[in-house]
Amino acid sequence: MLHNIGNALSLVFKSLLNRRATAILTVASIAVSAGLLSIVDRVRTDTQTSFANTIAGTDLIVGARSGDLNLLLYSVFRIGNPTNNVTWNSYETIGDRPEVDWTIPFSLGDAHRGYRVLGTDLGYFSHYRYADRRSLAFDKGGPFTSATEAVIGAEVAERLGYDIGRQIVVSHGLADTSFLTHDEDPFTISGILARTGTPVDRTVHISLGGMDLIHTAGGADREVPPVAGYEPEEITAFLIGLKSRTAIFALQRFVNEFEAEPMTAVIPGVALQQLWGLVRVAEYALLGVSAMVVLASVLGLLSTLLVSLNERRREMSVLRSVGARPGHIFALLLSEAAILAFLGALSGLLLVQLGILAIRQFALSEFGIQLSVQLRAFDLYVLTGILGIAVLVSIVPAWRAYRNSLADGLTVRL
Amino acid sequence: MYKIQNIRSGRRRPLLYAMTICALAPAGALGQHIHGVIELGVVVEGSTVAVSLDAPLSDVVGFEHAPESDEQLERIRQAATMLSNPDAMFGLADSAECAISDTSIDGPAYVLEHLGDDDAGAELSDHDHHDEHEESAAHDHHDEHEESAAHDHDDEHDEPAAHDHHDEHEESADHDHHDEHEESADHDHDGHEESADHEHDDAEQHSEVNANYQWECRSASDLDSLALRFTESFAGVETIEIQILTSAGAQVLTVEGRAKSVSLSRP
Repeated sequence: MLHNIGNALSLVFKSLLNRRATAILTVASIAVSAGLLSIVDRVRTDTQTSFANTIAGTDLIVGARSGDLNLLLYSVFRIGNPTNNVTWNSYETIGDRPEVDWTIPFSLGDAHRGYRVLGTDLGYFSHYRYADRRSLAFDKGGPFTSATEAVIGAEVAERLGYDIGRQIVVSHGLADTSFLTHDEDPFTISGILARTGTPVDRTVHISLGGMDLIHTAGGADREVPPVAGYEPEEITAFLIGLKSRTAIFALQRFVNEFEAEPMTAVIPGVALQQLWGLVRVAEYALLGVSAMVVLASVLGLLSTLLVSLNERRREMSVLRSVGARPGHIFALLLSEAAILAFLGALSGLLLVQLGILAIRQFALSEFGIQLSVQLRAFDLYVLTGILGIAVLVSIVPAWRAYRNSLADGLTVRL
Repeated sequence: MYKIQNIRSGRRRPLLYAMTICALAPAGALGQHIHGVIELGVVVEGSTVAVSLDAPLSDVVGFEHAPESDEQLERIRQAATMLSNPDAMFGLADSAECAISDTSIDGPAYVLEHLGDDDAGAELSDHDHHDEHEESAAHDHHDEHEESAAHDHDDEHDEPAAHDHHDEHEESADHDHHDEHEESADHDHDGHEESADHEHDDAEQHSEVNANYQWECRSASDLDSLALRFTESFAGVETIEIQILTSAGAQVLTVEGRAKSVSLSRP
């Protein structure tokens, strides 16, 4: 039996080899469609994971009154419109609430060679969490100990080739090459953070005092503000960790109704859910289009098989003459379709894997999206789905071949 | 209108996402006043379940002012009784063995004063008022008496700065620039004209009820849903916007006003 199947398969392969040009084209079109479907879903889920992984363990993000998403995206992901500042006074008032465990101030707005500069305090290195509540680790060195020191993310160090002790200059504004560079205010790199796969990797961290230093008029005789206990007038936003999450809605309400200053408190997970809710339509549209492409490629397979039937009448007759029953002919065509679909889907998925390996670094550094390389359940669905549809539609040509093989004698009039 | 920062981290990053944001109303944050919409926050942390409910008073009793007739007074009484009884509001699975550990209710004074009407709620009411004082102290109100504290809570969606009644018109004039939500901006104007006439009158103001409940559960893992018992009695609820925070993450969902329960497990 097994021997028979092996024989039959080799027969299919040899037959396909005889028509390799169309076979390869069919496989290629299925490969492209399978790859497309796989990559669309992968980018979709990996984007969501990457965003969700960026902020963990933070209960609320507080900034000036603005849209929830705007505040979240600007403060944490550094995308979108800058939000207004909040006063240090409000920050302290809210940070002193009994239900608050810790706060991390964020001061944004400057850049170093295209990388965002974040003014913060030492609490950042101990309280900030990403992915599964992992805390930031130092690859080299340690936190800044003075206002003229900086801690850089893994990617900043790698791309710009920086090491501990190197002096860097922070420019006012965000442009890659701002003419307003503060040459007189060099920062010394005191530490390099281990890679996180989040925007932290692309950030230069300085103290709040350091942030003010680059905004005040230069001069060698200036006082260098201390790292601990320095109070700027304003910050961009701050993160809050609560002692117990049960207080989260009450504190959010307190912040949103804060009398002294209009502010917004955002629950990161909730805001991200809202974001996915918004883009869901677009995501499904893309998935739908990709699924249609798969369908089109399988229909292409169907039409190739149908067209081939006529020119293969003699082939079928020969098979019949050496003992193949009509059922065998039917199975032959089904397995031919299955093999083409399987090879197509498989090579499509492999192409995606190779493609991801090739663009992975780029996606991470340019878009902050960590693409996964392992095969996922969805890929399996794509594979079996395409296989199933291909076998299903190939019943049509298989049935016709079956009918033909019953009617035709060995001497087919072509 | 929306400029994407041309820096490495933000360049060409999900442009689509950034663009959709400008079409966004500031949805989701607690403390907005939209008629027909109740906002519900649920937190499950360890053995503790905390539920926070925000509802426009009109959705609870059908009007938004101090009771003007016996019938309206009765409705306020009924609502107050219900709000102060967590079991009438929500239902948690029996097998989870949850016991109420904290209840606090905030709203207009004419609602709060009836919290004690029910015998069972007498002690509770004291507790609530205590809580409220604490909170209003933190709010840094300059009014001393309780009624005005409650009044301040009435127009929760207001720009907090606009609470300062000294320069009301100026505040409300540039208010529009801050607020993206047109509707609430309009409401604010109404509110201000009103309050200019009689500052501490609750009439015609937007009134919110905010209730917080907390349970301690022996086996919180048995909690797979939360029964929404209040939906049977609250008049005029069209939708309930629910935010659920559990150890599994955040969930945001919108259910219709008549929904009987909400699932706490991930879909």
